[in-house]
Amino acid sequence: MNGLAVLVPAFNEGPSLPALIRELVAQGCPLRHILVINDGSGDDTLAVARSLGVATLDLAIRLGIGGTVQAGYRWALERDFHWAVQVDGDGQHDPAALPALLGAAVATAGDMVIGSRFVAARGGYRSTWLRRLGIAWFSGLIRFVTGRRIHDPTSGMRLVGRRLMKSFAEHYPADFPEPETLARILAAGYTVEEVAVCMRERGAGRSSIDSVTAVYYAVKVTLGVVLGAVAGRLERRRHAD
Amino acid sequence: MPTDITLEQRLLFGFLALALIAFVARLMHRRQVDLQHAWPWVLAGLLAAVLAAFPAVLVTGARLLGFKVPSNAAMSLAITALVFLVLVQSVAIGRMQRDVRDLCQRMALLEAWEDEKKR
Repeated sequence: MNGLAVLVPAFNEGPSLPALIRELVAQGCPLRHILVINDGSGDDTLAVARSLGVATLDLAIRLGIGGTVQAGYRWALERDFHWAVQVDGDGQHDPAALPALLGAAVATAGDMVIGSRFVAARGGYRSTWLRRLGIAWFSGLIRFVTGRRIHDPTSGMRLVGRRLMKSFAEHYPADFPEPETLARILAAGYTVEEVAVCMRERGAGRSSIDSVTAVYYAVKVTLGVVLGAVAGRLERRRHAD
Repeated sequence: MPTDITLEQRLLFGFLALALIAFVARLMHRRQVDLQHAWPWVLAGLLAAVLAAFPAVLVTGARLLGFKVPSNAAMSLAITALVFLVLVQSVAIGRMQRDVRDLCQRMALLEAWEDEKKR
């Protein structure tokens, strides 16, 4: 069985990839354990990834972050990886945090370890006040529906074990998946830990959330968290029976 | 109950009903839509054409349903039908999205295995 798969979802991240892959290799990740998932990029993302010698997955059409990361989990499962961690292709996630995430997963036998911006006071890039407000809202909502406080429910830097890989390979939301999946897995009884990390400003590219999609994001994710918690409770009951 | 439906109104709605049927038929002929998904529109066009030709059907039907004004009955039924149609289409779209995602991922995964064999 292989150790840790590093899943790098990438949409038009050609300029950011070389530096990211160098940092991952510097942390001890073998090139064949790093998977760049090209989500229908219009630039040279795929060519850059192939030239760097990493594994690649080239999606024929744009699936969005949910479909892209899910494809990564399926890839990792097929190759018997024990853990998989998402590191975004835009350079926001610092690979220097990987040892801490993996260490926490091994020490606690947790199903998921989140790289969190808000567990402890850390330096690094601060997102806008609107995003911080959204994060606080979803953190409170997840606590309300699951009883568990997650400080950074929107962080995409998440390390998961095989149990969750199998679950996510079957079902993963198409967009803004982090809060919704958290609510579901917490309600279903999976263990989730948080480790303090520093996030960086994105190296290139733009955010998928602008002022127009912010409203859709707020409504859709709120509903997703509530319904996800319900689905998680039903899943827990099914396993108990 | 007000029952004055003018000849002009009947001609207009009759024309619109036939235009809808003709448009949907053209889409089907060009294979842009299957009958499997187009039949509600064909049925709606036929029903509208019948009501335009025989407005007494609408008047009697409205009375039986308790509506004071036939046009209110027509609007209520049309809105209910549209809501149901949209819901059914949402379900269909969701199923197709899942299928497309699965196929896309499977294709990419197969290609990845091929690449790894070559290396």
